[in-house]
Amino acid sequence: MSDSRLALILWLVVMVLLAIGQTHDAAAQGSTFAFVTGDVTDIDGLPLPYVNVFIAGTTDGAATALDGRFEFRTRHLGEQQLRAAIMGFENFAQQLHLSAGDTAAVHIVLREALIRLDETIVEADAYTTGDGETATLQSLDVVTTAGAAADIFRAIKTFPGVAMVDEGAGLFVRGGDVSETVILLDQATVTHPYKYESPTGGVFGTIPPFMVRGTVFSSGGFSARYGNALSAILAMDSQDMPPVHQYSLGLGLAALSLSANVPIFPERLGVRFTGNRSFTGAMFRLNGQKEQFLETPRSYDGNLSILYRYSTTGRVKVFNFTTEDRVGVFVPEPSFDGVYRGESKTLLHNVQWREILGSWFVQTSASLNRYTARQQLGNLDLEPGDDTYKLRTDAEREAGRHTRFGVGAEIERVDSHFRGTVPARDGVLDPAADKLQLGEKSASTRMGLYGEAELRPARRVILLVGARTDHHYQTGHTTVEPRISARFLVSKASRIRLAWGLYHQFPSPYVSNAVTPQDAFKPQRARHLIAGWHYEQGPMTLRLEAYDKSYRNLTLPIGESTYLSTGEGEARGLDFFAKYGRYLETRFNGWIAYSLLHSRRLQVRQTGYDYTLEQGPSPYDITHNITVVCKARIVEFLYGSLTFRHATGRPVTPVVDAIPGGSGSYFLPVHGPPGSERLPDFRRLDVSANYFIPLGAHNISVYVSVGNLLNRANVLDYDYSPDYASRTERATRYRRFMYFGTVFNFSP
Amino acid sequence: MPELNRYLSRQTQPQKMENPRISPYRLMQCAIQLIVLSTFLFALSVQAQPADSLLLHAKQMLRTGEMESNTDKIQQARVMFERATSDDNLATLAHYYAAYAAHQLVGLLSGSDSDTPGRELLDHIDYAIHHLEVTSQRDPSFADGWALLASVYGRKISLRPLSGMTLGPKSNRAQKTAIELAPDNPRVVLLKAVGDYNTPRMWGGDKKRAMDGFHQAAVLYKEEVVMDPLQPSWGHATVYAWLGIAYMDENNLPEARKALEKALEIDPELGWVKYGLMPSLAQRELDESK
Repeated sequence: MSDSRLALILWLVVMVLLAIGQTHDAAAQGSTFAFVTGDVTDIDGLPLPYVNVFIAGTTDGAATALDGRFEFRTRHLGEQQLRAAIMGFENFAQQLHLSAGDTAAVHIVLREALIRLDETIVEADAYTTGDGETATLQSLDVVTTAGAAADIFRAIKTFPGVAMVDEGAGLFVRGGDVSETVILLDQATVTHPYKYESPTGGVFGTIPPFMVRGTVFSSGGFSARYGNALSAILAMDSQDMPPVHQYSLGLGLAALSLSANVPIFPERLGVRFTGNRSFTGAMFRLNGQKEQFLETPRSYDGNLSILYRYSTTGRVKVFNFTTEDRVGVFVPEPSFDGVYRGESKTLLHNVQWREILGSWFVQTSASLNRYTARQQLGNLDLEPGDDTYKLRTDAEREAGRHTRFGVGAEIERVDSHFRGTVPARDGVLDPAADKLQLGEKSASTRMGLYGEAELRPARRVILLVGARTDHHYQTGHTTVEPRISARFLVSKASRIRLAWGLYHQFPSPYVSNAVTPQDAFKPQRARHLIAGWHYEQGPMTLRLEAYDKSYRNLTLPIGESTYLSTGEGEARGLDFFAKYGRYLETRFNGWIAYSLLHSRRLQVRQTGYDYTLEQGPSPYDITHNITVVCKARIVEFLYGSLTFRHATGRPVTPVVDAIPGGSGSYFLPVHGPPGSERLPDFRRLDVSANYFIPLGAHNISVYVSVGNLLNRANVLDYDYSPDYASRTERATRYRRFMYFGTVFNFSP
Repeated sequence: MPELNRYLSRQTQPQKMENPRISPYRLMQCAIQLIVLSTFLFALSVQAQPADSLLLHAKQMLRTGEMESNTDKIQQARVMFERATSDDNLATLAHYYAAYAAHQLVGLLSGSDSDTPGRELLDHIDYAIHHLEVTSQRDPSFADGWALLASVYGRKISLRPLSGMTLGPKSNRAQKTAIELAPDNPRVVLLKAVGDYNTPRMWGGDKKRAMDGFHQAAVLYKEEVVMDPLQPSWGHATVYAWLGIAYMDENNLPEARKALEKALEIDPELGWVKYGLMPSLAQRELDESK
């Protein structure tokens, strides 16, 4: 083809196309189109490229260029909504009136999004575990933290605000008793969340970590959706639908575990099973500590979850859990050398239904929690038990971009019983001493309602305002609890939080009996006031929170079977948390948690046959509590972890004298001022190492840990001689302690 | 407009070959034509477009961006796809392409000499995951969507290893679904092979299996006929680019050259190969010859 012919053809084509274009243009100028033009900047005036600017509900629009400018035309005339959207910035909307042939010039300023879309205020104010981007600890962090023994509760004890009262898993939060922390799983209350239960909680949590998808732990100022809790909430979500077949087999020095995740119909019906059997004899023999047990601790637990997704929005989860444990241990008591035997069994059945109804997201659960136990020591021989029935529903809806409403109701009934014998005199367990025969049954029914609203009155301010009311049928008391929490978003990385609220908790049905019936009790009450600062940038997280709590109507035990409802107290302190890095993703990661606490309570002081009430440091007043967790990748696939804990010794009430009781075969203590002495400081260093061996779709994990590496004999209490003339330190049973095991994960 | 570009491409290329000497008059004439054309194209770009032409326009923009390794154009295309999601009939494809554009951006931004922060890459990956999850919800039988979703999950796992615990099974499941739906879809086979290639052996990757996959995909691409210009058709040249990479890793430079030349034969302007892999191969050949 010649040069001139090519030029001619090209010219003709261009002219034809241009003519078509001009025809379009002329038509537009005539009457059918309106122009929208303008630019998009951030609040500093810097142009924002690649912003999607469009007429809502249409495909008409444009992307901004590198200089932030845009221009487009549209046939959609009249009242129209112009929108602008880009990742990392808040969406923009503006009403425009578009007329044919006119040009609307718009200057759009986008504000940087200060919170992520998936971040909810409840989680943001709490410590969380899970696999989400906003989780404080990743799931693997929980199971690889030295000293946590792959236990959720023990891992949470590394957060600030949780006092190291002893070596167990009990969550004593900000000066509160362990019973003031309420544990929830899929909305159901886990009434007995500890294995090898004791007055300070227990040795481990009952819920295995890999059954849990995520946890939210709030150490105070939590929202109105959580009721009947004085100090803290630990809300757990069980695992969701298994996406693929996965099986695991674990064998440790003291335990055997199995798990299976089976998608029967993918995304529709799935089953999860876990089973654990613990046998600690070999472990205590290896560590030279078997002689302290008459019967080494042993337990089993099993879980079967069935998940059914019947539509894109509806899901039913049936969660069944059972655990049983028993132990026999030599216990030196003031008046005799005894053996404590304990056994307990817990069952939890929960059906949870989730659905979107209209614009409401609704979750409802019905649960049964059954607990039976037997405890024997000297003249104490008790068989407590309870059945807890609970029905709970929560509904949540968004109203606009910055408003969210939540409402809910729950009804909970606890039927409890205990029978057996207890010492007639507090702490006098000698089999020959006086004892009381008990046989009590009681019921406790509570109904609660709440409503809350999350509002954004200003761009940088988020308010969570709520209130709840609970009615206790047996005592006839109704509580009303207003709660408010405000967050001020200083920047994308930093925010300030203020919270205030009233919290009530009805006394456990176990405290009521013929001497003190339920209607003698008032609901225990706490007032929380909290001010905190949160900073998060890259791999670094910092938190500082100050709090002040005051208590009223606390239940006070007088002897073994009498209770008062006149306890009071206070707790104030400071929690600090600093975290760096992410497990597996940075070579080093870890966190430091420090708590400063001052807590006093009205307590019972026994003086022989008499009792007086006096103020003193609360038994959980751990002034300084510091935890340092460090993890590092030593070589590829080999990770080491180290946890160091230091805690001020807890207050104890000393026995300063004793008087003969009964026939003179035992003595009654005369206490000094409550909490007037402290145990020696608690210190402990734990280390562990995990070696991960990937084998394609399968993997093997080998772990070894040494607890209490420094072999420190931490003192947990004092034991007195039968006449209380001398006392000895009761040191930890867990001196330097080794454990190892392996887990094989198989995914066909 | 793509037809116009192709026409111009066909018309101007032979001209250069037949008559390399161009007169000043013709140069001026061409310049005027180009100015007029640019004006016309700009006019088109600001016009309100029906969704299908918007989608085609965005595809063309994306292709240009890929050819030039131009993130600006890919971003522009991504926004256009996003806008097209408001058309219910084409929303599935629009979501898919928006995700594909983000996927391509991640590829360009995560190069070894890139200083793009990980957070920004994660934002693009999360964007792609969101759009692909919508794609698979809207049309569970769309194999291309599942295959790309599996690949994007894999990208996220490489940046956030801990997410592998939850995303690993999801990725496997998405890949399995794609293969079950369309075992002979060349993009499904290609993305699986890329996954096999990039995944360390101890995590289930297999370079030999990947190589077989690349070869299988190459055959499937030759047989593939995509009649609907809106449907995905990308990847034919890409599969040879990956073969070139695989051969280079095996130090089989002659085969690598053949593969890369084949890639450029299919898509002469593929920037990744033209400006990245080819010069790299040439350097390797030079080093070998010394």
